[in-house]
Amino acid sequence: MDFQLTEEQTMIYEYGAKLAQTYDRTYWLEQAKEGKYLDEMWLQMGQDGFLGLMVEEKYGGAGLGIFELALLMEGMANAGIATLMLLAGPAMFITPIAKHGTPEQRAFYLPDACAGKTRSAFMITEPDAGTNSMRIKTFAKRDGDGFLLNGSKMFITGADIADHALLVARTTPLDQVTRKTEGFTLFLLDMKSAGIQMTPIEISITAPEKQYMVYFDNVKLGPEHVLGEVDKGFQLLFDSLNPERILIAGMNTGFGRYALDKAVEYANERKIFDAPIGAYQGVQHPLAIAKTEIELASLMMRKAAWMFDQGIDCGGESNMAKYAAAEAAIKAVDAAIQTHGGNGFTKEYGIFDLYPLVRLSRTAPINREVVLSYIGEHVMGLPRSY
Amino acid sequence: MNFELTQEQQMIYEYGKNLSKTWTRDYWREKAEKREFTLEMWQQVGEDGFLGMMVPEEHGGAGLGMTEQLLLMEGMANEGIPLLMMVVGPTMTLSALASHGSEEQKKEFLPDGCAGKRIYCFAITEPNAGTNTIKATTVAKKKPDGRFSLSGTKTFITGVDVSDYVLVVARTTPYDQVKNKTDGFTLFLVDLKKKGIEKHPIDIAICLPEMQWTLFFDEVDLGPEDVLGEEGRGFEILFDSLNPERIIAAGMTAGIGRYALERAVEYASERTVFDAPIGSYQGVQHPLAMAKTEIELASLMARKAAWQFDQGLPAGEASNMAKYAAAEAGIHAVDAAVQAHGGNGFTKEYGIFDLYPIVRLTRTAPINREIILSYIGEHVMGLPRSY
Repeated sequence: MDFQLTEEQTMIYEYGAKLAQTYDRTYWLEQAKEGKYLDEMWLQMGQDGFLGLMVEEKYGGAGLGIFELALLMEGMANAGIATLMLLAGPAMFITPIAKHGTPEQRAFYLPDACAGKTRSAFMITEPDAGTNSMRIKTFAKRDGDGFLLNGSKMFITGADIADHALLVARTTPLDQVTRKTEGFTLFLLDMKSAGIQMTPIEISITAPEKQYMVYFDNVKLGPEHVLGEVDKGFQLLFDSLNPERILIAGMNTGFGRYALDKAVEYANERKIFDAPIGAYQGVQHPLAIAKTEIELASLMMRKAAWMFDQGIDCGGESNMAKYAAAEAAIKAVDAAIQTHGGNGFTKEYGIFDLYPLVRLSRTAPINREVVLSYIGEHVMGLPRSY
Repeated sequence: MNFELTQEQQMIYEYGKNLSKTWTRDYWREKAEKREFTLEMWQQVGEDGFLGMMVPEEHGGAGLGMTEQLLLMEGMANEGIPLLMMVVGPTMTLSALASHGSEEQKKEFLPDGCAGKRIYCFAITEPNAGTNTIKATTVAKKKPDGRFSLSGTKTFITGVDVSDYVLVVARTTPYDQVKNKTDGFTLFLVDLKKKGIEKHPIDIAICLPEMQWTLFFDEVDLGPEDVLGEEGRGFEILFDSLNPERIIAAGMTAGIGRYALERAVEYASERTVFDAPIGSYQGVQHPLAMAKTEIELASLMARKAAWQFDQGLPAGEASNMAKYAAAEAGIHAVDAAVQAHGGNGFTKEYGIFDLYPIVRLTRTAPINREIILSYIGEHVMGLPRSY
């Protein structure tokens, strides 16, 4: 065992703190409130070489792994400036293309995506297909050597600011496949294609990324838009489920640390009776409990990421990290709010503003209950419960 | 980073499983119910070379570190056969002897300790000095001939009755005569057969193979050869063993938690009350899955702490976090297992509730949850001292 980061990894982990010197939490919040994305920050990350961490160097990347991508996410969240587009982009678009794309696809998409010049969305969820992806109805019908795409996708993060999307569609109907995970194809979608429409979904979370319903009406796709093999998209999809859980865990541990740092600052200063309130165990211990839970989740997240990069099955660890990080972050933000008293609810201190996003991660990208069922069934060997 | 165990470490981790084929959970429980130590098992562990994990090979040990000591304990606890003597003996005393003993002491005490022929316990807590060790009043008064006279009382001392020697923390300079309040403590390795030593059992509500004792010292004669390390500098040695104690306690609790959860999985996969096995009900399954997650998180943090300790890195943060998290996780795990078993969770036959007292103990001992949280608040997060 070895629990030390390399120098390069430490540098990646600390990049968020550096980036926040220019693009700080206030910038993040202002953009979020105005409904604008972090365009300048994203471009800066691309220029600094952090969007293609998992991509081979010849396509503009750094040739590293999910471990480094998770450190990047965690470091940015530590500074309160994490972005969900790191999931939709590097994790769910750039990396699958780097792994499974043809040489032409790699050359076409990767350099610009790694440089931050293009952005991408990930489209799987549908109104009637959330946790159970088998129910996806969006259909790409064969049309000559290409396809015609019809259907709709829901809760698509950043659809308005994406140039491309990785889209999951059926190419063979459910009743014509032998195994229910067959018949899905992954498409690389140009968001400027004719026949795409989108409407925003108002959610109660302040974030720089907006959520969209996206509709497809006879969108034309060519064979060059297929990632991997036709009808075999689900296998590729499985590859990105664990990275998604790992990254969301990193985002939560980071936001939790950010909240706790603010709470420590406040509790060291704030005096109501004689001593700073941080000296009261009623204030201090809930913060210490949350801090411990954050570090536990962060460590499990790193183990999961390390296993993924080693090619070891990391389903158990990824799910544990995702579950634990969401719970820990919710507790951390809650303890930070309580420490701040009334100020915890002000815009000036911005502590309650952290809550919606960490609470979201108990539900998305995968809900706590399905994660626990995974652990119960696949880690512990209990019977399937749904 | 690298999260893989070496082959040797894997073997050590799995040793508990092998051991439990002969010395089963039932054996452990029978002994515990009679308040008898699992002496045959202990000797077997010694013969197999697992008691001197942290002792150099030249003194009969394995020449390994805290990581391996942890893996051994965790592996035994996974099978429901943990021993507190593993904490006070190999982890606290043998490793202190190996690190700080004189050549003569090492030769005299280590090989027999590693072989399981001599058993060691550890005495620090006093009736009026629990969490605050500084208040210890057991005194070793120096006599004109250079020898010492030890007097005082120690309490909650594990396994005195089965031990040959006890490592005693005593003041050699009174509190009001030292500059730093941690000065003036000396460690003595005391032969329990010496004159002036008496022991009284403390009846506790936990069924274990080790008993708890109050130890009385009345002018016990000790020589300079009984001093471990430097006179007056005992606290520095003690500090070295605080993190190992937390790490090993974490490993023990994580292991017992796993043992409870495995019993629960077996039961919940079999037991059918309506149509399906109860394990397929999320109300039963999810609390088990949560506890499993908490156990694995704590176990991983304990490994990080042990690794840091072995590397000579500061391990306070990880050790305290692991100890806190393991105790909470162990309690959750046993509680979820009790609940999954229904009424059977309370029977002696299934033995599930029997796991509760020891995991609950670890929220209080060897160091209580509140002090751990204060450590994390103060030393990890930078909050003001709260006591």
